[in-house]
Amino acid sequence: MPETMESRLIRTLRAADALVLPSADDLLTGVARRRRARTRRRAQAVLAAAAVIAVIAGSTLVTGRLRADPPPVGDPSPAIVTAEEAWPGAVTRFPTRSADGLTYTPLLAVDATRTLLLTGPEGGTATRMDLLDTATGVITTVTALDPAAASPTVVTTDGQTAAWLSGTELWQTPLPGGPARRLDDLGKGALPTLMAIDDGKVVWLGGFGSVVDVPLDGSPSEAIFNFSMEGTNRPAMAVWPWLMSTELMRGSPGILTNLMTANNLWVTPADGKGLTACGPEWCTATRAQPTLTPIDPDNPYGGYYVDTGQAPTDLREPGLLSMRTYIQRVDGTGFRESPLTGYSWLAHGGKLITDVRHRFYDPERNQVITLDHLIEVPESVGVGDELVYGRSADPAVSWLVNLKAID
Amino acid sequence: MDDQPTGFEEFVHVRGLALLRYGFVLTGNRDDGADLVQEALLRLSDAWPRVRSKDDPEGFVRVTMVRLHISRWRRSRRERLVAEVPESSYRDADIERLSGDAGTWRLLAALSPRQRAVLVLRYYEDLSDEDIAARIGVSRNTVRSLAARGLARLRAEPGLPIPDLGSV
Repeated sequence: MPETMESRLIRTLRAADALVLPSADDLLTGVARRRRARTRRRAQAVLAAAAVIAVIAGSTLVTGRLRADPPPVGDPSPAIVTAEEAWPGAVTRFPTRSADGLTYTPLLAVDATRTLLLTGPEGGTATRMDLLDTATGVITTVTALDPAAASPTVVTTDGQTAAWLSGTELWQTPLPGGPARRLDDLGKGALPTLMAIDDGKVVWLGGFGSVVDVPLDGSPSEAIFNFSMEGTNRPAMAVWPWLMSTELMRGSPGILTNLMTANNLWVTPADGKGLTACGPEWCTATRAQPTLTPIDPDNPYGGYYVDTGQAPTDLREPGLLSMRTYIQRVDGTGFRESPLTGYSWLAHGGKLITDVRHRFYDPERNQVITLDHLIEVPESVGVGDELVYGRSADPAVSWLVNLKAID
Repeated sequence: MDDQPTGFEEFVHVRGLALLRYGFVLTGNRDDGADLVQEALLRLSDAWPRVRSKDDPEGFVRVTMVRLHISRWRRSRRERLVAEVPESSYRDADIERLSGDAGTWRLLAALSPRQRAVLVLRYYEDLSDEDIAARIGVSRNTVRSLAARGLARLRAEPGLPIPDLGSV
């Protein structure tokens, strides 16, 4: 009887097993080496933090002593600069309307010079996607949108393809142009709020502990798998692809896990209170005023009530304005109050912090970047993926700030 | 070992070889396998009191190993999709000497880590699909699908004429 694939596999795996000879002592040595390397990395992080604090405080490492829970420290007043000063080349002006009378709405910064636009009648549903080349000012049509589909919401790109969510449907189109393709209907489960294109697949964090991939070529989803984060029940993601363990929100040390590489970063809340959001470099911590009560204690993004003893009123926006935001590096150093207004959040891969007034704070440069001079029509200002846009006083001209052009 | 609780070294001495073999079969490469075992053992040492009280440190290590292996698949898959197995892994003659099939071993290197892990758990560890699903954290249907795709890919490779007599 011919041999089956399964039996050949069994004998091959057993043979491979027998190839490995005893070396358990080497294992212990290897584990010890790993432990020392891990300890050394942590010690280096602490030393680096000590050096920074020593410089700031004007003291020396010899006489200085690290505090376990440093109080908020004031940073030297940040420099305030305009977007053009801070980020030459990131600010672009473009026509508000197309030659056929439709309105352009920036959706996504593809790269430093290309911006994806939603194009459609003023106030109506977009009918197509266009691509603005800010280097040449040329706008080309990418694809027509299905009139029956909802307007794109969550959108992502790898530079060659754009993928987006329309209602519960996942779509994609090649950026050089071509028909849009419906990939899947995700149903009413956990819809993505952040997603990416990686190696020909749209990837996002799905329901509890799951990662969902859908191939761009329309083939059935293959890579649906679960992950585990030790001690974590409800990981949150503020910066793709970094998962934040819930311990951090409670003020305890915890981990950030890179969904794509499984790399972990150890995060230490500087003042022992909960962190709101973390990227690989910086974290934010939001402190509500004592009179504010979170709508959902487990959801720091869920807005706040003013607890007046009367019927609660959802004052999400005023609540955001009356809050304070602190920032720190993931290792707990650099703790300070954000110079921005009220509730602020991470932007640009967690390297910047921004607020409801569309100002940015660069904590590395201690620089506040304002768009105030650009905001001539406040009600027109919007935020896309890695961009901010609005209309000028001249209704024929709009502007955008492309954060992918700032590095 | 540095600051290791009593019993951890003993566990490594007793079960280290089996774990290294498991790591090798799982990854297809001795260095990668040893790396996986060491990382899992480091995590075990951190969790030793808790794991030991449950009396299943080896289960902890094996689950950690397979999940680490799978979770690393994105960054390592490009290196895995090669025609030639790294020289440090084995020689064809060695595996043939032990009644294995060098061709099948080479073809395993072309599978995704998840497909390979499912086949290893099913045909090397002899686990049921339900146990495999629990170990790698996916549904039983996904396990069956991964196994079917993995086997199909092994069967489809030219130069390895295997009649399709089995089912998954």
